[in-house]
Amino acid sequence: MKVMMLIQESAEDFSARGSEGPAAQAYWQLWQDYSAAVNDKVVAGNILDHSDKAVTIRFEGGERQVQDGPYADSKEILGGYMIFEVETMDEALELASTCPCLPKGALELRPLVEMS
Amino acid sequence: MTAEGTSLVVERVARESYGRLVAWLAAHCGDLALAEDAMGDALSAALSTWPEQGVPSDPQAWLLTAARRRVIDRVRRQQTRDHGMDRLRQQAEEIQTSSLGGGLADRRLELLFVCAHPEIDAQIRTPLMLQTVLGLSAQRIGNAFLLSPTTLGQRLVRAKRRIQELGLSMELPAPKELQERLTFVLEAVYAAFGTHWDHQQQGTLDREALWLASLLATHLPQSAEAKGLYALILFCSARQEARRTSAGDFVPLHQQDTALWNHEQIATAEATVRQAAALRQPGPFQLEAAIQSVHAHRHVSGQTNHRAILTLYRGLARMAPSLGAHIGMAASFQQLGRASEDLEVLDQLPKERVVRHQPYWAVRAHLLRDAGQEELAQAAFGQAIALCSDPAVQRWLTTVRG
Repeated sequence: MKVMMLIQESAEDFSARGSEGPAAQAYWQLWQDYSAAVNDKVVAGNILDHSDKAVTIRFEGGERQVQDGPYADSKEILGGYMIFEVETMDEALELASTCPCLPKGALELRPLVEMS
Repeated sequence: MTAEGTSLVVERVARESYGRLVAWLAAHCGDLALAEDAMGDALSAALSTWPEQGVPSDPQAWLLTAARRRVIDRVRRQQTRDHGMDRLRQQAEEIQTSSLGGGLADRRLELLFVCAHPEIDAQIRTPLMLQTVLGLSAQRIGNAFLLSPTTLGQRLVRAKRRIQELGLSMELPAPKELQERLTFVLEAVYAAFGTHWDHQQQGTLDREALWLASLLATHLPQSAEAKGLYALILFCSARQEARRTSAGDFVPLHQQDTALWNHEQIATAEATVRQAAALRQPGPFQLEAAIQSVHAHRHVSGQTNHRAILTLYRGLARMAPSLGAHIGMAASFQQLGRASEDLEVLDQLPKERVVRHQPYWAVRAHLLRDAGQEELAQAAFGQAIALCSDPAVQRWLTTVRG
């Protein structure tokens, strides 16, 4: 089965990404280590740019509305995703358990619907 | 008493009595799930009536009476729906007539053996014990074992149904079978005491595991391995305070301030190891306890006898080959400065089993560095850091990697 890991990062982690210096370096190093460790189970993955750059489109009261900013206004920001190829959700949980965003952010695991 | 004060009393009574009462009820009605439901109801009844009526003089007896009533009600309802259920009727009678005089027979040990029955899925044995004997919530067990509460709940229900289907009785098995089953019981208790979750301050299962191990050691005085496990857990938990600095940083064993160890616990552990040895039934838990005893000796001698540790790990790897034993062996080779032998030990381990095993990568990284293979060492440190779920250990490994 394929399971998508939605990476919800804290604003703190997000700002660590862009800046130069040891904090940013340490942050990316953790991600690099993590990706290497789970690499054999990953079929896809991407990092999203800052949610400031998001544009949201929706219909409200029958009218189309285009807004700057993300869809959900929450403390955590969707920072990226990974798709794992695993046997069970337990296995996906185990892979997710050492993700570097965990001490501050949160991870949502969602099985993908298999299209035949 | 305030509602808050009462709920504290209920919590304390629940902690002390839960497993005892569930085990007793299950032994008499033969249905573990029903026994647990009944106890749950009794506890919530206590929470709602004790603040008004006061805490009864014998809270445990009160809870048992309430839970018994609940079991009887349920069995009766079942009977009217389904005539001729002789077994259930017997159970109802049994539970009604069984006397409480002279205190409550402790059936927790029997319950532990039922939870670790060979027909019960090995993965669920520990969670089942924690829930039925200690009353831990599925949420908390799920946090520790990395399982979603729903998945865990389903597996627990399935396990209890299996116990029902197999008609497993709450009795200690015959001596020969007891010996076989004891291994499973001890392993399941040890699994509750893992480094896996020792950093989750809010949810350590260590205390519970220590308690279960002491229960086993006390009630099975002829089992050397039960004592071995109890001693092992005592040694490890005695170092709790020394494992972190006040700032929350990780301190590896060889750098720990031995003054911070709990010397009372260590003394109990040493005495337990000696009692176990006197029974002349060597076993893996006793060897592991012996290894911890060598480490504990550093408090007295100021140094660690790595040669003794290596010998013990060798024995362990022969008696019960496990990843832990081989990695321990490799680490002792490193301490003795025999870097090529230790890498050999690690290379022989099956790749698919070590690929996500954090201690393997941590030890391997140190060995590679000692062997002068810094580039490979860096990669191994990276793997160890990435597989580590404890932020403090992660910080420590990052510093060591440099």
